[in-house]
Amino acid sequence: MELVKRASPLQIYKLLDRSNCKECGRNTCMEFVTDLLERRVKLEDCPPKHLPPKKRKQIEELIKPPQLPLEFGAGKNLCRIGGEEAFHRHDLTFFNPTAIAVEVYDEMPNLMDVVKHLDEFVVFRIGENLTLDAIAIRSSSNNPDMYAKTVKLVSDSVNLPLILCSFNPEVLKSAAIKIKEKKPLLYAATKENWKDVGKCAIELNLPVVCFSTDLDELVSIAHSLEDMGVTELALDPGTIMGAGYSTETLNRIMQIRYSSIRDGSELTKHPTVGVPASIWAIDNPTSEEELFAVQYKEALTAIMMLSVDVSLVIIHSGRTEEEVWVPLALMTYRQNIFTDPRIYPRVDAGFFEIGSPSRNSPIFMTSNYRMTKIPVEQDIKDAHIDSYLLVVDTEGLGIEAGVAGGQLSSDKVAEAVNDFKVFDAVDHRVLVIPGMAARLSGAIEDDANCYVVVGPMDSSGLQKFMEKDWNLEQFMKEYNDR
Amino acid sequence: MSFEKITEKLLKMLEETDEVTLKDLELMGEHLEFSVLPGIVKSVTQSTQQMISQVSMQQQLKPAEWIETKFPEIKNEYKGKIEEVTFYRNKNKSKVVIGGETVPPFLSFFGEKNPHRPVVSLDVFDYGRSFPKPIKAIYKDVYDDTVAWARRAEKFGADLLTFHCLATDPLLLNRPIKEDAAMYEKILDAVKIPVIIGGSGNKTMDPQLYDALGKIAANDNTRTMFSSADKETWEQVIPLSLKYDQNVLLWTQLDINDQIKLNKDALDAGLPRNHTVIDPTCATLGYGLEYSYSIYQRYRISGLLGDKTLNFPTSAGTTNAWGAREAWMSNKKAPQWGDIFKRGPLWEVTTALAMALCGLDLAMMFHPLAAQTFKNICMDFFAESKKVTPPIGEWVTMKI
Ligand code: SF4
Repeated sequence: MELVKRASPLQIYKLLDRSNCKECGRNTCMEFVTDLLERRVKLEDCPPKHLPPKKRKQIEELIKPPQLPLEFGAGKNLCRIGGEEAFHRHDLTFFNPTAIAVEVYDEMPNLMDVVKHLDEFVVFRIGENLTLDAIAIRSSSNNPDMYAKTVKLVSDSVNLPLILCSFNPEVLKSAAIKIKEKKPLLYAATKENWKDVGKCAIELNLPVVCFSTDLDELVSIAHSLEDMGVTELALDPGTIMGAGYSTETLNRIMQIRYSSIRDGSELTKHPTVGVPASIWAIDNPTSEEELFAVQYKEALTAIMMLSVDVSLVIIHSGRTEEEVWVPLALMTYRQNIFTDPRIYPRVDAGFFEIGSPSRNSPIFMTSNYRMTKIPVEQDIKDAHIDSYLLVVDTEGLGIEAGVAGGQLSSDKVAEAVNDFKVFDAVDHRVLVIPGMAARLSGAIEDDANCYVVVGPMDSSGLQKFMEKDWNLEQFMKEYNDR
Repeated sequence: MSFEKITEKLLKMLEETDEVTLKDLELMGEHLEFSVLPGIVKSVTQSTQQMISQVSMQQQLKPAEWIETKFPEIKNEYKGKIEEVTFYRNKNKSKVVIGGETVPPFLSFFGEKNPHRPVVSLDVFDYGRSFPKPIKAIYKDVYDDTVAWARRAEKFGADLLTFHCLATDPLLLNRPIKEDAAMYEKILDAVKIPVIIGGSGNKTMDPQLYDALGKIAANDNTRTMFSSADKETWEQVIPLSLKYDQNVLLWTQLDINDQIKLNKDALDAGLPRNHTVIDPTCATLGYGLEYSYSIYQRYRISGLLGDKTLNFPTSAGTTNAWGAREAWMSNKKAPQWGDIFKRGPLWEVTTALAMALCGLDLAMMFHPLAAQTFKNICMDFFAESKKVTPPIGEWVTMKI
């Protein structure tokens, strides 16, 4: 696939002074270049005395991604979207995870409680705190005074960046003026209101989303705004799902994507926005069952958008504790898709201490699949079990898949037990294997000369297992009786 | 302080400064006049100029002008085509075709549309195990009645079923294959759709299983699929598929080179291209889905670009999603994740949809609600485009 050309490390290296002065915190200029391309370091980190403005500009041009980045929010609470250069995830990596915003409206009865909940919402998964990125406030009142007051109130009590939503420029401006230092994102400029929204954006120096379901019209709005002097733009090609609409919606998103990231077109170089929440304006659920169906439809629309690296999605579900499962699925999926594809699923096999194990501590076994080993290790740590963890080389497969495919077998376990001299570390010969590998227990006992205890199906059950089932004396008695 | 003193002080300060910024200053009047001593003129004018230019910018923005712009044209570079694979019952009385794609999933703007939507197979197990609650709620009463289970799954709208013969694994129930063969025969009598033959993963038993059940399928004038052949079993499985004219699922585990090699080996052994489906392994949402995402996508894109070793329809076992904690863990144990009857099936549909957007033809699924949702999404994508646009902009003012 022909992709927009990436700058070669050498091209950039030639423009540096190659003094290896280490002022950027890197050992060599070449290291700086590598990290620059991986966005682990900023160009400004190489000081002007080493990098004169003219050369800096040249490098800037070289590393400029085909899709511009856009930032809204202020200070520590920034939301950075866009700036992507990989068409497919496997071409390089996706850099800026899709921002997820939940929307509320100015006439909402329990508005302040909801925004507080959104602001503090956090899910801890695999060593990472997953949070929302922004709150979108709509003006259902269409009343400038009321909207401005509400937005100010919300802005004063939350940390998350805000997206201001109204098609009425007067309403939009009334609130934007009040919180302009917090740099909200304006939603949205249309064919009808673009002049006034553009004016507001320039005066207050704010980024704007352009909205149209007609792609010619969409780029015309963006183009006209740019010509006027608006510099930070995003594109919302409209979200409509259902029979006859889904393909058109995906078509529009993907056309922008092909045009900007694959073809490098100037007209489409802006981050993209999707609004699964707009489904609720069309589908009006009247029963519990319909409500559930619309929630699913919305969640899966957002999943579709995350899949194709839309820069920002605005959702409706997720305002309450009961609806947590919607953002949970989205944030989990995002955590998956936005990990670097160059990180392999395989981790090192080995024998590891967790906590401070003694000679009577249990030995747990797991596979060398990253997404098995890391959660298991985390669970043991969370349960405060001083123990050993034997990581068997399953060619990077999980337990269930490894057992089914033969990559996790009794031979492999015996090999690991011998290689890592596992039982030298303890005064017993008991191995706790995952419940998913139960069918191998007999064979492991024979091949590795040990007593096998089948542990829980999932490592979240290890604490309970230790309290209820772990009985070293009994196990060793049975082992010796054989 | 006298005026002279202030200017003296100001001058002194200015000597050490490059720039003066006036903060919170409001300028009023039609005519601005600055009278200052020559010494500070330079510095002050700089900042005033800046100020004035800002003021004038606000007063006279560049006149806004509509610039009619055409969206850039997008070239189609996909020249390849994915093979088509057919499943049928009783000489075509019911038929399911997968594959045949010429463009990436669901897109139509290249002027071409893919011919078949991804299809759904629902799982039927040959014996009940401890399944998660949302699954239990649906199948619990038929755990020991495989035929009733199959009938129910068909009613849920599955395009295909997969009969998983786990009990034949010597390490599980070690049940004689002829018992599963008898069950399979009964299932075929009970349902109208093709039923895929699913092995237990045991390398010695699986070929024997395909031999026995493949024969039953052939006698029924049915073409279905052996699920699956891997790098250890393909040499036995491919001849059986030829003997009974069955499709084969070539299964590898998240390894591109393994899949390329297995595909080549299978084709060399005589497996027809239109009998070949590949399964590079579907990891679940939250636990490695990203690896499957990239592998399925690479296969599909390579196939569409013309790579003849990878242009086969794909299958994914989204049932794996139920291995994720967020899917199976009860409300009592995990209240922080919301209702299991919502998050559970969502976990599975999400996994299926993610794969479908990368390039999936056959989803082997477990939960009927997940299956129905997924099927509906795919049917929506394949429906005739509507040209009118509903008023979606109204979401901005809705009062919910
Ligand atoms: S600061 Fe600049 S010149 Fe110095 S090592 Fe880093 S990249 Fe090289």
